[in-house]
Amino acid sequence: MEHGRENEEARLIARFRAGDMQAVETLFWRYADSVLAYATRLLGNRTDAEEVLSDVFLRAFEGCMSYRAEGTFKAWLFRIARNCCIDRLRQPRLLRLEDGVEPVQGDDTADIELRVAVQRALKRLPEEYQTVLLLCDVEEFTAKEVAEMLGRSVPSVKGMLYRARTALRDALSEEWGEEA
Amino acid sequence: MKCAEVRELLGNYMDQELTESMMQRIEKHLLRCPACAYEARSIEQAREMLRRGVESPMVSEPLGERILNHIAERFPHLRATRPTEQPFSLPLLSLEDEVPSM
Repeated sequence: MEHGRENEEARLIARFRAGDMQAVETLFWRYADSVLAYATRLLGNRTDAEEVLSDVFLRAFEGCMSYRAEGTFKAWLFRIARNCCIDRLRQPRLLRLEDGVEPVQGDDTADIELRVAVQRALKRLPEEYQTVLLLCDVEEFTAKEVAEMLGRSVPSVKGMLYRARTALRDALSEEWGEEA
Repeated sequence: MKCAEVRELLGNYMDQELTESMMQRIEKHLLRCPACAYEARSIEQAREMLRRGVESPMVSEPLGERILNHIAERFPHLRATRPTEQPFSLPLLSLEDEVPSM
């Protein structure tokens, strides 16, 4: 892993503990977009994801005040983000907004169709499959990092990733079939 | 190699986590076996669609500022270094500025 970045982040965390708000801002803006994106993909809507985002960073900095596990700050954040999303998904459905794809400026019809198909296909997969796909294939964490986040062995994550990719392929194929 | 062996290693092959000789053995099999080649191509295509199709929202500045203020409130030792919010930042004019001297 990138030891340079790990060391730099360890220094930022030490500065946060010492009361330096600038260190907090640096860590926040470095990862805020990717945590929001991850939460939006897992939860299926941005409003819930924005609420989760605040909890994720609060929990992360609370953890930094006392104890922080080994590994990168990013891996630590994403582990917390996953837990926050799971908590959110366990809340009664009526309290959550309906899923939807928000149009992005510059999107054409094909982009929107692809995003709808991908979102629907992802939602059809078990939560663990969604997690490994998003962490390994989108966020590009290594299998070792994801294994640490999920409390699994590396071979177990690799096996699950392969099954998840196959399941995604089948789900996408069905989504396109339904669209046609 | 048999198809079952190739399927077992396909994930590692796609992530280029095998030795050079094993990568070449699988490549050789994929060139000769349409079923395994389709399996590899279709999974790679789904992975590419996932990367292009997932939503990538960005955190707006107001949302970021709200969360940072929330963090500053939660951790009192940070408060001293967080500038207070100033909704209007127009420069203050002195009386002398408004009244031209005669």
